[in-house]
Amino acid sequence: MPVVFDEAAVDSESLLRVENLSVEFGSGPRAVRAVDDVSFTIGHGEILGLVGESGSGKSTLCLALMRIVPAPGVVKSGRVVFDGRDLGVLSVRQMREIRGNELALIVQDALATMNPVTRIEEQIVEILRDHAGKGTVDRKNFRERALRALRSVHLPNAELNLRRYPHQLSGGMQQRVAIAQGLILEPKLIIADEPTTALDVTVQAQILSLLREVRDTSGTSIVFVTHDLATVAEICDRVMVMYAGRIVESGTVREVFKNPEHPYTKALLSGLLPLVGEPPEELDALPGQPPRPEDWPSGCRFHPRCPVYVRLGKPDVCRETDPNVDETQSHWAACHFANQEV
Amino acid sequence: MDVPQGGVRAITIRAIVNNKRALLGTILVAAVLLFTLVGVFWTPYNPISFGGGKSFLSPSWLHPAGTDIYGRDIFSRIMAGGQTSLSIAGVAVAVAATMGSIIGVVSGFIGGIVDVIVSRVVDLMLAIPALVFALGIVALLGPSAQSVTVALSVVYMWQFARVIRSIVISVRNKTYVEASRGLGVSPIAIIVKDIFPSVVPILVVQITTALAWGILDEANLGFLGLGVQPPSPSWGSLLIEGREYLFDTPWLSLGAGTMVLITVLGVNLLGDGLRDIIDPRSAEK
Amino acid sequence: MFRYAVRRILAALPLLLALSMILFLYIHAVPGDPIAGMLGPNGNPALIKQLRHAAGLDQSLPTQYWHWFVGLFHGSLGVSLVSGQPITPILVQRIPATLQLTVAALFFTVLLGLPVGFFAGVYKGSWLDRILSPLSLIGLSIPVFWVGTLLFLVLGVHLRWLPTAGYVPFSQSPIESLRLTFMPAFALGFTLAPFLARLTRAATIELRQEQFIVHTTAKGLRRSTVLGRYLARNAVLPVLSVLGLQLGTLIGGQVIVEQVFNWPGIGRLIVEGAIQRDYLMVQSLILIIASSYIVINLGVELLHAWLDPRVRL
Repeated sequence: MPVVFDEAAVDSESLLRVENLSVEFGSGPRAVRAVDDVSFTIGHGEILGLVGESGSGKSTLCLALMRIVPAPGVVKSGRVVFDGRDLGVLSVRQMREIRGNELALIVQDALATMNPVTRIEEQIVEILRDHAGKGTVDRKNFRERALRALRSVHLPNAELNLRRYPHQLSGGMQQRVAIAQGLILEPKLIIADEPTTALDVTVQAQILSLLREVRDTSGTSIVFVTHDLATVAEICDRVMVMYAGRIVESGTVREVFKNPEHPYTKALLSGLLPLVGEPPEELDALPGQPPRPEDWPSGCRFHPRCPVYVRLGKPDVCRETDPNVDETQSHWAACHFANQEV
Repeated sequence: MDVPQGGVRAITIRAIVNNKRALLGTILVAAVLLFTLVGVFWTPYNPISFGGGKSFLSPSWLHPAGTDIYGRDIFSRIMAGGQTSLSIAGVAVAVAATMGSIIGVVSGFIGGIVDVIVSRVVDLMLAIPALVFALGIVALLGPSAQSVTVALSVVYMWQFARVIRSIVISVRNKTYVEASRGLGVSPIAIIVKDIFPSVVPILVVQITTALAWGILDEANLGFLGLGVQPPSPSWGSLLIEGREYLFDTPWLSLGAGTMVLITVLGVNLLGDGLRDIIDPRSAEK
Repeated sequence: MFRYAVRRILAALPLLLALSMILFLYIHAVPGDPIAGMLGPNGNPALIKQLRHAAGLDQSLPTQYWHWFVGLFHGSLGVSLVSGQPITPILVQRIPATLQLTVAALFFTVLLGLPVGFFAGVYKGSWLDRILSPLSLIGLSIPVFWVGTLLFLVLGVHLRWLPTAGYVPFSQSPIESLRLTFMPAFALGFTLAPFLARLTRAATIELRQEQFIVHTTAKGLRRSTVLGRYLARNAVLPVLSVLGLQLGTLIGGQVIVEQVFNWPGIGRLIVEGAIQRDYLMVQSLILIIASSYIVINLGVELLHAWLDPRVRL
């Protein structure tokens, strides 16, 4: 496969580098910007947590990383450099060869991603077959590998379950199969979009330890999207907090949890704002509802809900200017008053 | 089944003009109606009497569809036949719609065991292919315009019953119906005021579909020799006449057949257009 | 699967019984005496009485039904009032020709309708999709006899490419038999295919929005896999169900086409019976046709269960 090398990426240690990525839905003046000017990197073997409320753009960002944003959504600007290649300039065919092979997506509802009328074996084997070179199709070998993949995700009775249909498995087993599908070609990066949200607590813990095991044994990098801060603390190395289409704080889990700088992160960590469920009507006499993509606030997008903004007497800078940050720092927050004690 | 959003009120002249299919359908149907209406009062030649014209003439300016074995002008016979065909279809569908709606509304509104039995019977009646069923009834009554009308009404009403019942069931438990019930409004009044208005849009669409079937089946039965009997002209009876002389005068069959095609196409276009107007969501599919 | 099949078949049996009852009542609810009708206005009253007795029409309705039902149970459909021959052997004799035409017609319907509808759905908005809608409307409006007659005149009479009418058993002369089957089967297929295409298109479009189809991109599957194993295999399911219910249209069309092409099938038999006003013949044949409709739909249901693992419970 011809590889488009990116000079800047070669000397970098990161596996994935996202630069000023923006995703819009629709076009013209009525276009809605769901992901706005997002930049970050992921290193080899790193687990990066991505947290934010529903509608903050997390899932759209995941789809944009794989370049599968559904119409009418489009990647408006920015680059995604994966393993030295700019994904934006690859052909449809090259992109297909990367997806499922080097870059895997695991989502919340595993059952919904499976073909309801074919057996588990078929659904794993087809991934092997479609990514195998010509003349290397070996049905028996594929079956063996499918079996091994199911065992590697600790699916009980792998032999039997290979013959089953998706709807015959429990939710946890379906998620294991989905992970097995994602892992079978040993991808360099797994994008896991809330893979445990629909599962009960015990199964959640098992899936989490499974993902960590994958990273520890194969050095796979993982983008882990979640609503659950406890999960982040448990398995992630670094965390990014997303709010209204932007990343508002980024840093190692230890730094961010111990010393949050952005008022939004602080609100989340103190339990003032919940990440799931209905946000409160009011938040310390401030509106509780997150903004919608069609009317993001001006300046700092958190200012209408920000306790610091109120405490400081509603400074104009919050309303008028986008917070400027140095994204190369190991820990940063997009707040005009991030480093000041208030 | 969902109750459409737009409703019958959405059917306006403007809506029809703006909907390509509805407009084309209306034009075709109007043309056929005009053609038939003129045929009631005037035809270029006498369509029935054996006037001594030349037989088996090919189509020409004088006889656009040629002449038959008795020298009668086929174009005049197609014109005159329209009224029989259209009235058979019209009356049959009117009767079927009335009977079917009554069955459907009563069954759906009462519910319980009555509904179960009626639904089973309707399913069974719909298991008998319409044309086969109709020809069976005509066989018992003897072929004639009346028999065909009776047969088609009896055969079509089950489809109406099924469609109307499903709408009634979906509306029955809506809040406004429950409210009327709670207020002690009589069942008849609930049916007339609360339920029937939701049924009307689907009924309109179903009627156009059934009219298309009616015109096709009158022709089909006529073609089989089980419809209106020659020499009285109808599109069906022209077809059976045409079949006997297919080698000599293919235009006899094809002329009447084309007339059926145009009419049914017009009705179907109109029906499709009306469905889009009444239920805009269906247009996207 | 086997238990499911047995359960469905057992559930269909009372349906057939109810059908025979309803049909019987229906036929006997029609006013007028069938024998008098059959003999016409000049019927001799003595002869009417004699024939009524022979047909058992002078007995009470339950007795008549009982006799008919017992006969049915033993495989006897009764005796033709016109020829005095038992109906069952006449019917059996017609089955091969009817089946041959039905299968051939279905072949053309599926061959024309399925791929067109599928690709119109996959490539929604393409030229194929845009011509499908008007085409299917014409297909729904076109009378079968009209297509049949046109084919007959053009291919048979004018161009002389195909024999115009008749039937030769396949076992006797396969080539001639197929040549004879072509026109009637094509005429039927031509009128039914647009409906199938429309159905398939709608099913395919609906599927394309399902997450498991969208997710095939994330898995990096090949287009051929997505089209074949994902879209086609899943689109077939809803199409199959509706197609079974549309079988009535095929049967009705077949009656007409058998008439156009002089095809000695059950459709012609029932028309002959109807023209001679042989009520018992018509009653028994309608029962057979409606029963086969029910049986075929049962078959379709089982096929559906076989193709869709979610149904098998």
